[in-house]
Amino acid sequence: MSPQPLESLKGFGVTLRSVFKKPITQQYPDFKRPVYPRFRGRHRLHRHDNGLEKCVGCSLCAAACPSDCIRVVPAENDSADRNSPGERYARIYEINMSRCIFCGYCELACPFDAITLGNEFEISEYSRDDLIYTKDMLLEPPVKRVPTADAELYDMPEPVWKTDS
Amino acid sequence: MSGVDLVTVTIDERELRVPKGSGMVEAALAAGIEIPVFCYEPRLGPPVGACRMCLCEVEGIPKPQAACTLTAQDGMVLRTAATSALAKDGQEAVLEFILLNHPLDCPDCDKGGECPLQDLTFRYGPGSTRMHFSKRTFDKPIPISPLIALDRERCILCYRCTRFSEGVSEDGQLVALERGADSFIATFEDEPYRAHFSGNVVELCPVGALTSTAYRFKARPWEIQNVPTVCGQCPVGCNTWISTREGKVVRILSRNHPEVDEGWICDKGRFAYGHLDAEDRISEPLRRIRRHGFEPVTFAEAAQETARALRAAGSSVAVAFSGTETVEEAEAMARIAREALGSDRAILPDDPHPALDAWRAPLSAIRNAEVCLVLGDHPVIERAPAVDLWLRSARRAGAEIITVGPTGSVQTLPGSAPAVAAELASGSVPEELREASRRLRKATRVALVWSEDDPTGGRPIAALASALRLGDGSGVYWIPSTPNGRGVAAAWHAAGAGRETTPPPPEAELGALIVSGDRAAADPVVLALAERADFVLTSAMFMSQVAGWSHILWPGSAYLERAGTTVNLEGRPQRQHPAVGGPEFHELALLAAIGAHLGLAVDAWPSFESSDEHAPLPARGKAVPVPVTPTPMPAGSEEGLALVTYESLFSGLSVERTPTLAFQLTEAEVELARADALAGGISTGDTVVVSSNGSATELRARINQRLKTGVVRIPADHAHGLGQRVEVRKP
Amino acid sequence: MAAVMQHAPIYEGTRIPSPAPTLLEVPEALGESEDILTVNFGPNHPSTHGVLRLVVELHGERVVGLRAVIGYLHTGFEKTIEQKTYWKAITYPARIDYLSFQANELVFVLAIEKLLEIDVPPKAQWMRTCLLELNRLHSHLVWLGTTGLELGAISMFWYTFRERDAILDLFEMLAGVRMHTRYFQAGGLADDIPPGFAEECRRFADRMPAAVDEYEAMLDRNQIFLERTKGIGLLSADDAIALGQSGPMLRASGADWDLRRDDPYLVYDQLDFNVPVYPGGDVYDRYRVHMDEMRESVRIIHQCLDGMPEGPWIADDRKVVLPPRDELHTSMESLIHHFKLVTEGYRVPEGEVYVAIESPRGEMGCYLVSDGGAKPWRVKFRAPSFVALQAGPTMIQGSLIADMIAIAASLDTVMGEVDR
Repeated sequence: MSPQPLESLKGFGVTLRSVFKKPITQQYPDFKRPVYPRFRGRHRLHRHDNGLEKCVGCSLCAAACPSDCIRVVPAENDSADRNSPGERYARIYEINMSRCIFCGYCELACPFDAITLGNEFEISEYSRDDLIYTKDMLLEPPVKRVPTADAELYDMPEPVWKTDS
Repeated sequence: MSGVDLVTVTIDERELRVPKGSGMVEAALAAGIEIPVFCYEPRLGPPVGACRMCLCEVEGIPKPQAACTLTAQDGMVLRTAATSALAKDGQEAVLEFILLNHPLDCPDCDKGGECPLQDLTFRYGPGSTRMHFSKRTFDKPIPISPLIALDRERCILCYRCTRFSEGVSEDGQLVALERGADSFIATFEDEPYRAHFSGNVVELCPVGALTSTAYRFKARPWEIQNVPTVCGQCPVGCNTWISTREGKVVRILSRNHPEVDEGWICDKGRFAYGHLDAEDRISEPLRRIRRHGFEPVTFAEAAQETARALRAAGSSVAVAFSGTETVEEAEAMARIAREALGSDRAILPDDPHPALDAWRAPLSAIRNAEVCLVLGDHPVIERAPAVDLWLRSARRAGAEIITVGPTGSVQTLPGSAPAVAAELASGSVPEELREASRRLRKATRVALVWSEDDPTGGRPIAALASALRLGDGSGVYWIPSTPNGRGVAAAWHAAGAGRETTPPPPEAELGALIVSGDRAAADPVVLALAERADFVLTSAMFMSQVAGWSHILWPGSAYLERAGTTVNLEGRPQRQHPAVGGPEFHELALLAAIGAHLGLAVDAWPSFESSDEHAPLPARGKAVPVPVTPTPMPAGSEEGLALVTYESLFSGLSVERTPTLAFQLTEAEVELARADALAGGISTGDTVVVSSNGSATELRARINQRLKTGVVRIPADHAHGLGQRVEVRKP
Repeated sequence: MAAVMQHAPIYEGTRIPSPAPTLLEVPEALGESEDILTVNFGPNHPSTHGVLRLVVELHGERVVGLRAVIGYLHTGFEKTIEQKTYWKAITYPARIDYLSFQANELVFVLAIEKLLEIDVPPKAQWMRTCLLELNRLHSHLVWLGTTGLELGAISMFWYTFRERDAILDLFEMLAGVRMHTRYFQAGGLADDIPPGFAEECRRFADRMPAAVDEYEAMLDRNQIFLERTKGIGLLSADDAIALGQSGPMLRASGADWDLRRDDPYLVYDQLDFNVPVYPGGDVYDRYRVHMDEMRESVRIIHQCLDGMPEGPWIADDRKVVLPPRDELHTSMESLIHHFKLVTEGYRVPEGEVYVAIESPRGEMGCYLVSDGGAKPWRVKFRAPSFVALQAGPTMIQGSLIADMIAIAASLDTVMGEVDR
């Protein structure tokens, strides 16, 4: 018995009371807490309704990136086979996810709402090479794994550039 | 500046003493006060006050004034936007007006990030717009040449481009059409803008209205590295910035050296970098294997094998230079041949006369000359384009330009330049040169320009300068045929310890031949030597030049890929810095390795640091009297027409391998004098047969009214096989 | 100068080892004996709060020599910031001290704003204060959890991380990420406060005092904890001041000094809060300062939520603040300003400033020199962890090796901040 039996019992009392409380532990990955609407996760590139890419390859995201993880190589649009509405488009668009710090400056910098940070955070890979996301990967809708909490409640004004991500 | 009146002006409450009549933008800048401008550019001539960005308040004048059009007057009190609400209001209103019709193109536009309109709006302009209505639109982009795209929506009508075209390069091809709000820039008659200096308008444009097609959507300012270097395409050696992205050259910009190029570079210097990625580029050391071709070898093997062959050849070694090597490379080669092997045999593309150094002067001195004398058969603009701009600027400044040649103001037969120089020097001149001779002797500031190939290294023009007793304000500009011909010759001579240079004997067998560079490899004389040599080491950039006859083939580096010194036509040594990597081991590394095998210490890398400083011109040499060598004037002949050929600027290996410059390549054309054309019944556009010595070629005829009767002119790349006298007739 | 509480002296004179306070040298008499055992403690020891390496010389169980080896987490952030525009650089300070990220972000932003002389709207000021206190709670919770862990009370870790997660949820709701938010921007806040925030934050603040009571119940009556902390790692007020200590280190030695009260910034001068001071100068009093500060932080958070004014969340200065996104498609001026701000960033007038705030660990200072360009010419952070580490030898000398763990824990160092 410890020198202060009463005190020890009090301590155990705390533990005992907790037995009857609802546990706060979340059984990830079986349960996934919805992320908040502003959550900044895996990037996505967007298309216009007519299928053209919103990105024109202006490299503003690359300029804004504090960790220099974005590489954009633009090219001129072929008027017969357009990629984007403007004169230019991103021929190569790569994000090195292993360098990204998810600060979201790229989506702030983008004048066309072409790049947004979505909700996906389960993006680990077995190889660093796999963490370099190409334009095709970023244009595809990601496999939705993470639920999002109610935007109405938590976010104001509603960021239009995130509505279709 | 002595003899200049100083006046007192007050700018933003600061009193300044400036020369009377100096521009207020410069005066303010000297005091550390920036007056923002778009259209103002002193190099383009007098200010036009088109953009109104420089609005300032001047005491005593109720309305804001364009500072760029004001000159310093005593007691003038000027307030910029920093201290004057009137000027600030005016400036904001000007920017608001300029942006009123400016398209929201920044993310698309190549100028974005280095755009004066963006910069000045960000620094001086309003933060938001009050104008919410649709903007003026034009078709865009319009390719005004294969090199330049015009976007009229972005144009702010500063007239920089048209002023350049009209008043600097004097091609007059860019014009402003319509009036007022409908005004726009166009080419004359909507013809493509084809000129030697067209690329400069891209650099001048303060917005993204004129953009380079080659640089179109290649990179952003924050994605490029800029390397200061010196152009290696012609003997002028214009200072340039090389922009690279991800190890590739994406564009070349001027780096204003006020004594050499004044910030104007020709289209060859600006656009001919495509040859770095040519398909026939040699990328690794190769060794010939019997008749089957080449196999790659390592750096060490190539060096060892070459050294073995050179040692075996001993003094029976010859070096053929191209004049495109750096001074360091030429020095290394010269020391290997002359010091280590004891051979004095070399083919030098240029060998300037030592006396020329006594009249060395910066190219900018041409502008101040009273009389400019241009001797030679080759058009200056094709041989050293920047010199042509200096001559034009001298003429605008009031100088008399006397050109002696087949198309000159004094018309002579081809090959007359040495004789004309001798006549002018001796003073006994024929009638047509009498006026020129008189003017030359009267003037105190004279520029002599020599513009043709000259085996004597400029002796005739040196003799002329010596006879005219040219002084400090004058200069002699002997234009070598190769970019670094002067530097190569100097390096070769320096290694000889005073021994004479002997050209390789045409008939004898050679132990070994070092062919340095593509120009030497294309020389028929070198080719003949190579066939008789036991061993040939060739360093060249392009396979097509050298396949077949080299034993060891070394990948050559372009001037954009190496560090080294180059000496231009003034005799100014300038530094080249590598912008991109090029071959793994450069020529100098190979020479150092060969030198090590032969017991000679050669540095594998030049010993200077990278810097963007402008190189100064060395002091003049001591004046040595050069006696006049009497030279007979070439005689006319009754038979046929005299042929003069010249190497066009837009020719050669680098231009041929740059697809964007294809439209600039010389046309298969023969220039005829009007009288000769009439005699043959030929008019411009006709196809004619030009024949001589049994060889004939079909060319398009063009009548050149300035050509001397009895002379025809053909670009060298279309004159293969033709002799000095030709027949021109309709087929 | 810090007011020193009148009380019985912790010890007479000074205990700062000579000649260098950061080095504890083995006494010469002992150095001769062969009983000195040199132990490498760290850099990857779970009880060193990161990658601190202590070279400890033991005489029996007593620490007689001590040398701290730092630099294992050197990131070069200060130098890197010089290469980035101010806007981009705002993402960096938060990563220097990953526990008081919001405080570090603030001190850098305050330094920029001081040079820019930009007016920050009141809403942003109040929100910043609120977030700073949330961040203080976050940092103290991690400290409490890990200190408990190191002293054997493993369960503390789970309890404190329960509340810590709630705080991080709040940050996620606000800024989109849980830790390195870059939510403070020059001129105000990066984005408006979401409407659900006040409610969630209040719910948390209501719950927090009970949680603190719970921690206290677990530790304060725990005999092992008390015996391992009381009278351990003594540092007198004079010594603490001489060693440049700040924050809980100083206040647990009886010196009454808190920048929030003594040199107010943000809206601290309009808030009612106490500065807890304890006279003991031992590990236990440092624990008590942390616990009291958590309670005070909750009070401040309540006041901030009550006093939060309406209005803009960022200054309307087009030369510094990104223009509204809807204008990018209609206004040429806005597009140009957006483009320039993103690529080249705002220019900060020439000058040099030092701004200090009371971070959870003490005086966090930012010394910023601008040459008038868009990138800082020089940035230097005065890191309280680095200074706290200097007091280590003074406190550890002569103590048992086991107590060294408790003392090192009480320093509350974050190695990222020490090495920078």
